[in-house]
Amino acid sequence: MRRVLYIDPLKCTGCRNCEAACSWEKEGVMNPRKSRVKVVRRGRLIDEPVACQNCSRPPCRDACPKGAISIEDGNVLIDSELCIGCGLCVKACPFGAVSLHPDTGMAVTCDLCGVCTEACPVGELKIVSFHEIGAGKRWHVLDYPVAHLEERVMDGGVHNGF
Amino acid sequence: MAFKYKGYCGKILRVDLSSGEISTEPLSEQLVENFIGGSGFITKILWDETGPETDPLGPDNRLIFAGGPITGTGLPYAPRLQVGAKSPLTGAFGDSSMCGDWSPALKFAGYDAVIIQGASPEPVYLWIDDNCVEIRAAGDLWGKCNTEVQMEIKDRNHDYTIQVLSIGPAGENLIKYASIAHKSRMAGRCGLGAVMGSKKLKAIAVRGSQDVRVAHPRQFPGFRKKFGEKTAVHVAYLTQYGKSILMDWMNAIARHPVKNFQSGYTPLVDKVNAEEMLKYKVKNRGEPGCYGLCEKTVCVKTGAYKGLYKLPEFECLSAFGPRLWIHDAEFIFHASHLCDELGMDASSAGGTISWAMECFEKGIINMEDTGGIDLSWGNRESILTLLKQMAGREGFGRILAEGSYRAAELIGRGSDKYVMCVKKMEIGAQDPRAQKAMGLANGVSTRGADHCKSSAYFDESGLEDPVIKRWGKEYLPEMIDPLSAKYKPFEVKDGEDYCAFVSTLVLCLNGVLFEYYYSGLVEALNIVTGMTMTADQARIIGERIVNLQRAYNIREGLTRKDDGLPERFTKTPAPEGAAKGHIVDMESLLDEYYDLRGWDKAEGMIGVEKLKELDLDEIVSRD
Repeated sequence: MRRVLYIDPLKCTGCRNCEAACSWEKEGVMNPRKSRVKVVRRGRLIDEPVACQNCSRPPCRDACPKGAISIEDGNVLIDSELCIGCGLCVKACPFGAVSLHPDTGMAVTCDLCGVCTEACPVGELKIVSFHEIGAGKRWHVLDYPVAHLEERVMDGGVHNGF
Repeated sequence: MAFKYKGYCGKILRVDLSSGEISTEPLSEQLVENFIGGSGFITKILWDETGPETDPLGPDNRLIFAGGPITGTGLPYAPRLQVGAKSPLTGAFGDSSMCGDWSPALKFAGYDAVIIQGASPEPVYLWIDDNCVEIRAAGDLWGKCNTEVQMEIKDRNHDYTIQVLSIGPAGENLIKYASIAHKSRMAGRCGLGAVMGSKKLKAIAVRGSQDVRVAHPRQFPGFRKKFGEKTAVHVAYLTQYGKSILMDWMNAIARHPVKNFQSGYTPLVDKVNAEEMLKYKVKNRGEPGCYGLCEKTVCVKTGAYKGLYKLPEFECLSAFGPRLWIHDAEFIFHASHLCDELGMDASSAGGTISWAMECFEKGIINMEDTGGIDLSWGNRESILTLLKQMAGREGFGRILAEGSYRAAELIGRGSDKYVMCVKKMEIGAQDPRAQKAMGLANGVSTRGADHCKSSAYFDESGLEDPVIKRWGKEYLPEMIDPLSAKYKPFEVKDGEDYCAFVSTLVLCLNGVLFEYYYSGLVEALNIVTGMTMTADQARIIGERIVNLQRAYNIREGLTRKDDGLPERFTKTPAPEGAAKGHIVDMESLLDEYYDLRGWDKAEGMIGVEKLKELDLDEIVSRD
């Protein structure tokens, strides 16, 4: 099943614990350029860890001259044996989620190992399917009316609208 | 060849802006073993390379930026920077610190510290990109405010990952309390921004591609997680409130600097307390590896101060709040933001304005002196006007730009009575009458009025468990009673040594103060570096650094009288609130503190035995 790393950009604090966890897990050093997830901070509101979106029709797979990129069970994989480090996938990805490893020059992306989700201090970084993302949003979009309608009904009578 | 200890890069970058020469020096093992990093490096380098003959705003001053061995490892509370120079405000040892991405980026670029000396004839910025280091023209950046400068440099170089620190117009105009900014963080105190401005250095941009390694990479990820989780209960208040909750707590103990310390208590606190400020909160923010998430974004939706801001730190909430008789949260956000963008230290800027407002209240200065600005308490527009004038050295700001101590010398007329400084630097949000430890702390801090160097938060917070854990039950109840002087010289001395060590690593005091002591921190240091340091050795290092900073100040001619507090605190009883009736018996506090330190009571000189004990006897020659 296709899944992605996801956190609401208004909940993400930009603390980069996910980068640290990834870098240590995968590389045994701290180096944000080696982390498969990269946090971007824009202005005062937006923080977002950017990682591979496991696209259904991945531009990186189509761009790769060596067929090194494939989809398996909804997840995009890069075969480092076939990769020549040309960087076409880096150019093709609209998210900037592919990077070339600073030492080997080979293309790397997030493989959903999940170590970063354990490191998130607000516990909001998750690996989820798009069904789950949509379901979560549908549920929470009614938080405000639910709280207030329940209160008003309990007070006595149903009113129009909210 | 790799440096002996992991965590370090093994290189110091030195830039001479007079000659344009850029060089790297190998990091000395001896410097590391005796001073660790961060504040330790700064102390030793300033001792060696500056002195009484150094003009703080002249080319011979050194401006030093240093992280520590733990910086850039991703350990919680580690992404911090220490900055140091001889201070133009105090004329003595100056340092400040900030959190953020810049310090780790310096490690990724391959440098343990940057030393700036000389002065450029034209505005420049320093570009550091791994081995490529360049002095670049910054004429078109000169005059701009901090955020604009930092964004411009990133845009121009097509890379948002570039980390920039900068000065605003205040630093360029050599305002005595100009700050150095990086994103929403500031190295505020001691006027280090003016030192940077005197060198015509507008900004330092850095990015790097290198690894930061630790000695025990397999243990480290688990240790990292545990280190953060253990502090969770102590930092929970930061995650929820930021520092806004201190508005409530400090009013409860009457420690606010209300109207330039005329009182420690404001009856209008519910307009500027945590509950009020959190109404504006949109989200939390954290710096790399952090679990405390102390920063908040707030949104003011309508009105004169509409906008998105960072929720200011407590000192800023206070400096632009009750200190100036302001009880308007939206205004405080806006004024603090303006102060940050212009590049000034909030405590000193707000403190200088509060001095001026009290002088205005007492009729010592009038509208003619101020050029028509009404300095009645709480006048919002006047405060905003003054901030711009101070940063630009215009109008009445020309006098205020010198700080309240020197401004009082310029005005005369008995205005010095209302200067609330130690060593010419404004005291922050700690009325010493309400918390005796803070009185002593501000008096003896090596960088002038300051509370961070000792972090005497045990009586500030009133929590029993941290005291029992660190020192034992026998110190209760007096240790947590802010009004009691008992044990407070010990709290300050112990705190100064510990915080000095923390500032070498470099870690955030808010994160590590209550959960950890020396043994917890050397565990972190040893896992990172491969050293086998003990808690006792760490304690000696902290004490060594405090003493060397003291020696620096003694060499500048400072003595016991410079450790004194303004008379308001030693002679005028607090008028209301929890501290009502209290004054500070500073002489007794100093006597006991000097004893604990091994310094002579008469002048506060360091004894020879103490120097030998700390291996400072060869470094500090006795004249």
